[in-house]
Amino acid sequence: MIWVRRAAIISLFVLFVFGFGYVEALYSIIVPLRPAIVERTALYVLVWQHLVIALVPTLAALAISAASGCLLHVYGNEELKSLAISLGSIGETFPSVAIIALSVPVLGYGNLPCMLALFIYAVLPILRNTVTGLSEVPRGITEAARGMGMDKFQMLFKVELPLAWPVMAAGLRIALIINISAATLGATVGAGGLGIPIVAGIRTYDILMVIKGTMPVLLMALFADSMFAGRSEKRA
Amino acid sequence: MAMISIEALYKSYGKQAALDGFSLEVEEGELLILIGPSGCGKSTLLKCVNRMVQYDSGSIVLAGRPVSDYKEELLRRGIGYCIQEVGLFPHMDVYENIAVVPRLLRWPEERIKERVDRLLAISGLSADHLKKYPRQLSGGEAQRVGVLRALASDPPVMLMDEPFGAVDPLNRHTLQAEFLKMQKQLKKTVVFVTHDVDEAILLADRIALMEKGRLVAVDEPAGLEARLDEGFIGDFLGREYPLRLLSRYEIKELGLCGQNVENAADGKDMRIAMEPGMTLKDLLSGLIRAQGDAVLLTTPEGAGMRITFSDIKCLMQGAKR
Repeated sequence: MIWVRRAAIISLFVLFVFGFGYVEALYSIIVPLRPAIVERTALYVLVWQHLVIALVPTLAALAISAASGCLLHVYGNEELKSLAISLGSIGETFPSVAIIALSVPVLGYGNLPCMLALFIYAVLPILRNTVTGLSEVPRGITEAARGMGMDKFQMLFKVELPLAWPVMAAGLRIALIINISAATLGATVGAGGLGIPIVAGIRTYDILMVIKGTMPVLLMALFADSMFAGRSEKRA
Repeated sequence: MAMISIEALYKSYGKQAALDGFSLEVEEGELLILIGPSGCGKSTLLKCVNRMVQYDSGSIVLAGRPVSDYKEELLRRGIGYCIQEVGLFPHMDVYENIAVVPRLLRWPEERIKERVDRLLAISGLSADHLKKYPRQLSGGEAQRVGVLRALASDPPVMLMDEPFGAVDPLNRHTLQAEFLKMQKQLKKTVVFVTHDVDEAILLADRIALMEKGRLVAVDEPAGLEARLDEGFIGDFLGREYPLRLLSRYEIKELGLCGQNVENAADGKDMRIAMEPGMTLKDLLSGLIRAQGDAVLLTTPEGAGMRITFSDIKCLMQGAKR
């Protein structure tokens, strides 16, 4: 089932990205007086830019927050852990637009402020879920692992991380999906990606331009979601 | 020489003393039951032996070497450890669960396979179980796997913390009987924590009774009978201890007192069929139920024996000797 869903999303995506020219031509016949759009970058280039802007910060966030979550679990005390958990919850409620706006004065216009904002946005929820997931491993299991003579790192890699992974993946899922859509906001601070046609379309009241940017974002987010859905369905 | 000797062990949590000068020697190949009310320090004591808990003072010597000399993890890999929660790893199948300690010890995979096969042969599990995951096992099966996992590296010493505590009574009895059979073959040095007096009576070579972090008494189950008048011993073991003690003795193993055998049944006494695993307690229960002076115990071979109360007394005395 999940494979059918994924295949459907991917084929829709490919059809849209490479077939959009025809839709545009058709639309121009119905609405002849479309505003002249300066943007001439091909759609697949925008898609590629978008993927880089959304994925690189999310994966970097995964690496950094998983590593720091593990360190916190092994060496940290309860207070530090609960601090990380509440920080994570606060971070999730913080609007990404605000982070993007705030990082412009530091990094200037372009891709960087956007990627930094998405990175910050993703770090906290993944960190929180890593810490939560690791501390939710049942006591009987960690007790048995310790009693059989595993050291801290053997416990972490052989027992705790595999068991905490579903919780961590839930954090990653949220961060990834939000970042794929939030990356469109980068266009307002000069970043590339699918935000460009959306912003341009809104400025010129051109619905087709907005759709051109939105549909691939939507399909990418759905695809990312289906990747995780497969996991959790298998486990249950 | 004692396998484990514990001397003047102290451990306190804040102002609360969990172990208050505890000393005990456990002989090689002995199944020692640690029993006492909740919070008497029995689990703490067990965890001091494999250093899951750091004791404040005193000493524990394991096979001639103080446990404080070992690196913690290496010490634990050499001691079987079994807990009430079992703590099987849900992401590993039964085989992998059993193989955990051998893999930590870097055994070659063939040796692990051989070992798992041997363990399986002495347990009540079949080879089909090896590919199952813990969530596919019943409570009793999970406990069996827990015990096998603790036995995996063939450690001379086993620490068991209420291993059958979470299983329903019927299954618990089966598990206890299986474990006892296994122990008779393997002859491990076992320290077994429980608060269940019947379990202690059934399994123990010796019972160590604890109260408030101290050793109150340590003796063979039959030996404790004589000390029931000493305050706490009687309070904890219960006045009906002598009756419970009868369940320790299987009729089959005793060899019945010969003088009362009568092949010809006289017809008046109530008949009881002899079953495998039947104990003196079952026999006494039958006698009480019969409300007569005797019952007729019939063996599968068709022989009949007339058993009176004095025969039970005689069997009991024979068993204790």
